[in-house]
Amino acid sequence: MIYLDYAATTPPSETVIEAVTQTLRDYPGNPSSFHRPGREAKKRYQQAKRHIATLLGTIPERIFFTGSGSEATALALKGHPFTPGETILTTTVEHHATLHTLEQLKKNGIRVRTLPCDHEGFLPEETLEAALAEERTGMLSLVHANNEIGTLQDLKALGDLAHAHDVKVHADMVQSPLHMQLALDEMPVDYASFSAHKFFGPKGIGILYARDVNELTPLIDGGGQEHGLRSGTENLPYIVGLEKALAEAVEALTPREAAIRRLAKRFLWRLEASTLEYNLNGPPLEKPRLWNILNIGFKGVDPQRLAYKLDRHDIAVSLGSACSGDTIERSHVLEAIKAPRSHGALRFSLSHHESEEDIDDVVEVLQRLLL
Amino acid sequence: MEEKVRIVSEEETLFEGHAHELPFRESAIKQKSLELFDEEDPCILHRSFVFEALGDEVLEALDELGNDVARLDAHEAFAKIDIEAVEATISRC
Repeated sequence: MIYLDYAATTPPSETVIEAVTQTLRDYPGNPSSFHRPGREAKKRYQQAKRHIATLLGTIPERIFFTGSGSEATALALKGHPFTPGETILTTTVEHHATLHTLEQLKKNGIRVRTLPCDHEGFLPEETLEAALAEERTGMLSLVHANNEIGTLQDLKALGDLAHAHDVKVHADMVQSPLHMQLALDEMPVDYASFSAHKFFGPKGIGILYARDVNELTPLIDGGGQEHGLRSGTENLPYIVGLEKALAEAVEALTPREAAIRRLAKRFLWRLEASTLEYNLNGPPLEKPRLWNILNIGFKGVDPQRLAYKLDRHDIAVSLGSACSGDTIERSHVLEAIKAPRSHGALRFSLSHHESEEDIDDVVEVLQRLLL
Repeated sequence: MEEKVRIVSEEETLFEGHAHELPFRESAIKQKSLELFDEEDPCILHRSFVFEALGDEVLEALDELGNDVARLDAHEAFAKIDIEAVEATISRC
């Protein structure tokens, strides 16, 4: 199997699996209990949280564990105390976790304005500046690194601009930790969402970074865990798994990115050298982007059929479309950037686990299938 | 990559098109969906995947039989096609 769907999920590393199973075995206590097993679990939890905070460039008091990246986003957007008449600004290329949460907020009377991005998925500063001048804005919510086309927003410029208007910033950073060193406290973000399974950690554990916890209202009430922000007994095995995965992600960042860049360049070079008619959706490689996400459109191709055929050849990729009731709709991100409809798009998301031979094999299979 | 088939009965063409566009029986769709996704009522995206798989089964059955033209009752893969006709045959085209 050649797995090229790392933007969807990454398999946990063996060391992460070992960390999770060891924690399941060695820390059976509830961190809220006063007795020894409870205290041991609590200490391990605190240790993991401190380590994770350091790895993300912040302090433990700003780290809150959730069940997923989507939950972290929901907590930031639904938990933030908007005042009547305030607008949330977002973009046309957000993940559904953001867009669908904002749809819910709209039903509750919150005003949401969706800003257009350019044809590479970037939110132009002047677009944000104009919107900030026109709207009484409470928050800017935007995806840092786009999960479909790889666009890397200029969070420093956009966040600074929002802060200059006294506007809070939520960044969906789910795809980011595997590809860059983050220093959250130095970035112009008030909230940020993360998900462990995007960086070789376990599924079912995420993080909300919140600069000021006192501003948020919890979505789940109960025992008051996570400083009252997310009740429910802490999932210590997965928290430790997240810690391990994040540590490995940070430690191996440079060689991993170098390997991914080699593979991305080779993929596009091999496509260019082939007879395939294709286009790269999103920014070219020389622009700010994640190199592991290559959204490729193939002229005249039905992407569902191609993805099926690739699966038959043991090549796993992702579609640039999704179910919508009884129709298959093209991705809203591809629509937003006006990717050519004549080209059926597939997302190839790479990792350092693949070899150059794997990439060559994929292009050869594509050639055979599309001849 | 395109593989088309034709179904004929009494010199009348009942179907001509890609194998994955064949009218498959709902029971076959449900069975294949359970096999692939453990899901009786697949979403439209998974349903399209099921049609691809059923279409491939038909093409593979034609290859297996080795004839240019096969009777529609000659292979269990053909029984999943929702076409009832006298002396119907299927072939690649």
